[in-house]
Amino acid sequence: MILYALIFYVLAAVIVLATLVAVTRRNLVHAVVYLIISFFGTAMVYYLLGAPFLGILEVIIYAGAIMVLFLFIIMMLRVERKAEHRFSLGQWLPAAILGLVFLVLVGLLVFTDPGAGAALTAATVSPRVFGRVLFQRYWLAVEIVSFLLLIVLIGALFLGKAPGRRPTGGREGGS
Amino acid sequence: MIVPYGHVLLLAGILFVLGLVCAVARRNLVMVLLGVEIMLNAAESPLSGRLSAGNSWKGRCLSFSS
Repeated sequence: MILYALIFYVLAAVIVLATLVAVTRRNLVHAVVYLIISFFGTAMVYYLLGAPFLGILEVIIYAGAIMVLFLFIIMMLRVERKAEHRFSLGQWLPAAILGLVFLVLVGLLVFTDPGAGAALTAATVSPRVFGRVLFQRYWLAVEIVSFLLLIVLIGALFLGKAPGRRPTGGREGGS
Repeated sequence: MIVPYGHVLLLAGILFVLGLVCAVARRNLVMVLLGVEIMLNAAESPLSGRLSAGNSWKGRCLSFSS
């Protein structure tokens, strides 16, 4: 069990470092690739905490679909040429101060919470049990989420077919 | 026992703060969206540990639906 704790801390260090590097990169493609490393680490944390199905979904959806979508946006819209040349202090200082305050508050909340010391025992959930509980007990939430996705799909189709679209530029379809 | 649940929460908090700083401080639109993605990912990660902590299904299903 001490091995599991060691794996968790190493994974946490890798995730935080990769995200930190991804946040501070100037090159957008490098940032996206470092973030893929971070998402792989998160998937391994899910696997370690006993959720292998969620780990697989994390790799497929986050590291696969969303990050590839970001790469497509970067490469198709040529945003890379407009990357900022230097970090302005007036923009980073308030964000850093706010983030530091928030981090201190998170640390205080976590370490003064009596429920935070609850030990995570090694338990695994198989995808079959997970799906049965999800679609039997939480079917209404699943229906609501699917309806929301349908609305987004119809909205994307409508925006893609909008008549005011310029035929040459590809810049207006952002995210 | 793997780790205390507070450490998972702390990891998620650090990731959330990093995403927040990225979304606030960067000027590029793609980096702002990337920060939002980091925040979403950080918000769902502590929920997945709830099954191991309290034998509750709600965290896992909430995490799935996000």
